[in-house]
Amino acid sequence: MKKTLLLFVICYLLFVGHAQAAPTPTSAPEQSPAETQINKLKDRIASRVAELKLVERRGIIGIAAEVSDTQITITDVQNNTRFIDVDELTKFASPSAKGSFGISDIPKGNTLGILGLYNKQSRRMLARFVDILILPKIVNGAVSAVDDKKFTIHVATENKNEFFIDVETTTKTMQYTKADGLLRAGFSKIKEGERIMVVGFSDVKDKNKLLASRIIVFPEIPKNPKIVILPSQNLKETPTTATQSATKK
Amino acid sequence: MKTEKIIISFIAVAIGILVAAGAFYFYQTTKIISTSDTKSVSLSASTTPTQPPKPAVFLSIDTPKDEDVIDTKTVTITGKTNPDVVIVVTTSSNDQVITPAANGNFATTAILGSGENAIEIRAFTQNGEETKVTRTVTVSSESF
Repeated sequence: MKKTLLLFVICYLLFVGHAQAAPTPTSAPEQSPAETQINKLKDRIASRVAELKLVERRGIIGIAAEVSDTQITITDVQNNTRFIDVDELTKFASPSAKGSFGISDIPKGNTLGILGLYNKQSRRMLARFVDILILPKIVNGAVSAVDDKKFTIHVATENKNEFFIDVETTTKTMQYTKADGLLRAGFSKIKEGERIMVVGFSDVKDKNKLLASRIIVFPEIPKNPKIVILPSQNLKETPTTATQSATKK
Repeated sequence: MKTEKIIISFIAVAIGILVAAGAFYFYQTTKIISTSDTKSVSLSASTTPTQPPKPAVFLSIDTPKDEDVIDTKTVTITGKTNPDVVIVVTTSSNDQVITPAANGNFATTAILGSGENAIEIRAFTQNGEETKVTRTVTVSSESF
């Protein structure tokens, strides 16, 4: 009888014992209260570090597409749609605001600067500061027409837009050449067909009309081959006509 | 004597099972599928994605990273482009025209205003082609 029992034990150990031996957990030794506290603290630090790695401070610029009580949807400078969450800690500011300024005062189409916490996982941003920005517009193209009496120029761009540029006495005009670098120049240096870069502020009524702050002319660098200056564009059109033709496109 | 026979039988069965399992494992790992049993699939030209034409001028910006938040108003702009281009760095208040080194690397500093700043970096080739990269950099010492 004993031998039969021994036989069953051997068989059991041979087939089942091996399978059960591996996953059998070893019982952990009992921890002291100090060790338990240390482990809890370690866990808390680890989770906080993970949280900090997931969230980072970021600042973005975009045009307001939709505004609700808790969320702003913007189109950023890379043309991506971004979702911005707003809470009771978010501060709003506008250079033109006289009194208090809140989320309901943000009109669609305005350029916003948003500083906040970006969550890499959800790809959303929790705004801490929302400011309305008035940024200058940069127009890069070729001079399509020059009016030396009115001190205005037309600039044709790659995307077939035409901008009417108003050159003021305060406008800083520069010329870049390889030999001399960036040098101050006058309005007379601006020639039709030349590559030009204009930094200025758009007219409130007409977005294709710019009041130039800074102009750089590049006489040695040819214009972008994609820019086509039509003969009709060389005509000294009135600003309104130029704007209308650009808007129609 | 009878018990010994039973034990030997069990041991023989166990060894038999182990040998069979080993032989099956060896067969599975060394199995070769004959070419007659395989089916070849070729991709037609229409399914191959067409590569977009490479631009003649490239421009990559190493620093600053887009959407960076810094606490000083001076930022260093570094990057790489074609060696023979002209680079124009434009901020809200200033313009700089620079040329890269022979290996295409370039570096310059720009002064920014408080809050969000858009930095536009353009590269123009000698035949008029151009490319542009925009970086948003925020100057803020606010802690949150």
